Amino acid sequence: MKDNTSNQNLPHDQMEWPDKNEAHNVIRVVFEHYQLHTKVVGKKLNHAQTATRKSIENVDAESAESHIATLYDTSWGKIIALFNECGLTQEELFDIEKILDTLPANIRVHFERLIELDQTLQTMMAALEKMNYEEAIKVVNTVQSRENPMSGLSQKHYEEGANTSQHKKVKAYSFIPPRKSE
Amino acid sequence: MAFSFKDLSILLVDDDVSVREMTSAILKSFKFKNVDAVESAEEALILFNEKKHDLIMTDWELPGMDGIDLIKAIRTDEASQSVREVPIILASGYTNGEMIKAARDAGTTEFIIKPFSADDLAKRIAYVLNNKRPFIKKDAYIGPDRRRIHKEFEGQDRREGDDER
Repeated sequence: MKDNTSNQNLPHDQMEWPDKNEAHNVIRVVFEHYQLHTKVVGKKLNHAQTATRKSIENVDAESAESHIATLYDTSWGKIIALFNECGLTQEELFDIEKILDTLPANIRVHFERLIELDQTLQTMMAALEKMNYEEAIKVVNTVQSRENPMSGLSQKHYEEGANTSQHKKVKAYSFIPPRKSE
Repeated sequence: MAFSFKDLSILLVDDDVSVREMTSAILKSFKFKNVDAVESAEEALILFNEKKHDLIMTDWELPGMDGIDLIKAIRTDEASQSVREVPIILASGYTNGEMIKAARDAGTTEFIIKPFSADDLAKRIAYVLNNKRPFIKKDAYIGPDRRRIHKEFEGQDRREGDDER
């Protein structure tokens, strides 16, 4: 499918849409990527927690390093609990990876060692890199950025509506009152 | 937006085995209490009557009865009045305006265009669950209110009694 984001204002009938096979191929790529990405981030989180605990073992309990590591340890606990109890969006998975990139040096050294030793994780990360994810997600984003043909709602509207429990009541009149005499 | 649908069950209908298995796995990762996946509308009806799922997601193009037939069958089932209001998400690649109208008039709660990502799917499910519309039961139409946005009338009031309001 060509990137025809410039045609966003065309009527739906005139836009170019992926055919069923192409749509299914794209879904397979993005779903596989999401599943694998979830597993990779889950494993990284466990390594981050182990690395944090290892870093505490080697320092004075009263030191600033130990204090920071303890805060990280608490954070990992919360994120891992969230990870186990809820589904996370892919955006959030990328955010977690950004946090992992900011690990302090004393934790990072253990973390990188654990990642290096985990062959399963290495294989998963290599597979993640090989997927045509960028290309597939571009097609998804082009299609989803268009107004929904049935509801007329935009992606932004759906996103906001997903985060609220408020529901706008549709006002309906069951009778027509008599007109004022003119 | 972390999400959890742990108190809910969902019925997935898709004839493409790989898409069905993957979507099913994704829905499980969203922590649904129960995810049932079938390949035809006929199987879906049997399973739905037995388990009364909280949400249905169906593909449009199916062998035998299609997604629209499935929605109509559920919406008009006199035997299961209490569950015929179940939210139904219809998934499809784009079709023409006439078909979209047919889907809306069959009682589709929400439409999602293929392809979509896991994030799109989660957000659309959350949207449907958080924004339930009044359910209409008329001779000509049974399904969620087709009007989404209510615009207040801004013209001059001309009805008797308007002055007192």
